Amino acid sequence: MMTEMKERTHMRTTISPRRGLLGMLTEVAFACGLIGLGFLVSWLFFLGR
Amino acid sequence: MIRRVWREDFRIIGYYTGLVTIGVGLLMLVPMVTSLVFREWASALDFAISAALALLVGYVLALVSHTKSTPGLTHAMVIAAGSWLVAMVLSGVPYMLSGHMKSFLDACFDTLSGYTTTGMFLLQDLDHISQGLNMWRHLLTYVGGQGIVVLALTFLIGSTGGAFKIMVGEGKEEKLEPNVRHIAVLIWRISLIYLGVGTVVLGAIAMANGIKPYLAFFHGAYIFMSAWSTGGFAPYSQNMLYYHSSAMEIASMVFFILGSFNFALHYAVWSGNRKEILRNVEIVSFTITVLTTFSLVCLALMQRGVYPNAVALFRRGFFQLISGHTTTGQSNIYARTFVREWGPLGMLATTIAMAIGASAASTGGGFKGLRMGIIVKGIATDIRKLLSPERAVVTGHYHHLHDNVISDGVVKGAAVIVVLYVLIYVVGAVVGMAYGYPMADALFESVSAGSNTGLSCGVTQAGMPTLLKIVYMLEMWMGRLEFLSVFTLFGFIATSFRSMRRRKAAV
Repeated sequence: MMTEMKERTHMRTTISPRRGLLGMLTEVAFACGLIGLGFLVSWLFFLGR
Repeated sequence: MIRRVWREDFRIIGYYTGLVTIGVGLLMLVPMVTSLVFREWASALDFAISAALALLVGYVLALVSHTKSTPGLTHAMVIAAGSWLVAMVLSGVPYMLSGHMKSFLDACFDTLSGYTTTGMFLLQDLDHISQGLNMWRHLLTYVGGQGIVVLALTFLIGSTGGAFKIMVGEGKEEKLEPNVRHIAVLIWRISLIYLGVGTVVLGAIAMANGIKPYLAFFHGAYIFMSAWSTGGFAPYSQNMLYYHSSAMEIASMVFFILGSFNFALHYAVWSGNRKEILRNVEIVSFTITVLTTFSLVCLALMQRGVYPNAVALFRRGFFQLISGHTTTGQSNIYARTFVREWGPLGMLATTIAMAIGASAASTGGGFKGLRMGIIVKGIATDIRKLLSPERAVVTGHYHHLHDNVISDGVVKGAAVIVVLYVLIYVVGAVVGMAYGYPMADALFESVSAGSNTGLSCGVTQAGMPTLLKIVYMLEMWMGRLEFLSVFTLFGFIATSFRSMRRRKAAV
């Protein structure tokens, strides 16, 4: 998180492009992991049939 | 609690509601341009008339009630709840002019369903509507997911002292930044970046599936807006079944899982705190409840031998379940096939998933994973207290952005909202049953409306009883705004009448 002081009382906070991209990839990886877990559960139920 | 309503109160509410209405009018220019691009002249005219009407109403309202006063918390709540109703009525005009609605109530049902990111619809002949109207349906759900009132106010009048209070009224109380304009800009920046990525990915998949390139772009945008805002609309009546594409389903699943995240979590992860995604109580609660309810679905479907292999079970079962759990409502199963094949246990598991819903301060509905996590942790803390020596100090914690102590007040606050959600689910189910629908169907549809999911087992259609439509609309509205602002609006109306009676008595 980049934090810069503009004036004494005004603080502006921005997300750097690199951190934003890494954040997006982390979120997508988590969603894919959850979907993968879903597939694993389906597969385990068929194995245990 | 206001004891008396003054003319200035009406001015503040009227002025800000007028600005939101102007925002709605400006938003209608997007589908109008879409219609012009596709040379749908009649549809473009519908949107031109509707936009002119919304701009006129908004301008007159803002002009007659012009004020420089800043809204207080009560005003903010009334503005949030009231603006959604005004936006619903004015946004229904192009629906009505399109000739695809049986009544204006049906048009209002569809627009409210869009704004609240529910995804139920009563629109007739969806497969033959104009691209402009399709854009409007998906745009409503996309804008509704981010919070229409705060969007209109922050971008039309810049930073306002009362805007954060209005944001609370819209159920997005996470304060990420000191300035509400920065919060709105951050939410919109994240959403627009994902909109670009999502449109390209889903559009490319649509193109690979044989849809013409220029249409594939629109399909990509529609499905993304529907997924990200956990709305559930699709350009064709068969919803996701239209595409017959597992790639499209998986990509859409990724986007609606991301859309169901708390905006504060997006902000934390995007600004470098990436471990938050594994520690956050909402995500932990969401993962546990998804896997538990999906296991119940698998059990039900395996008992009934519905799907021949694990891939089919995953593709239909997991998509439907997680679409319900994130309160999206996209579906790759026909409504009646779902009831017939999944049976009571499968339907019950999906109903539980929808009732719990997504994350707080997200585009999703339901009583939220955060509250579920807090209540479970609260119960665990109470059990630990009972098992510990009397003098021992036992405190419970939950992690949401930082470690928080579980106090009785926090647990009580979460429990009250959960009870209110359960209450609207039950009321909707009872009304459904009173009209003769089976209990499982009535409960499923009521939970779907109240949690802003939009999955249907076939109850929601243009021919359903009018009272049931109104009950579902109330459920969508209350569920989306998380009760507080709706109750404040009712209280404000009651106080206004009482004040009027007092003034008359004094005269």
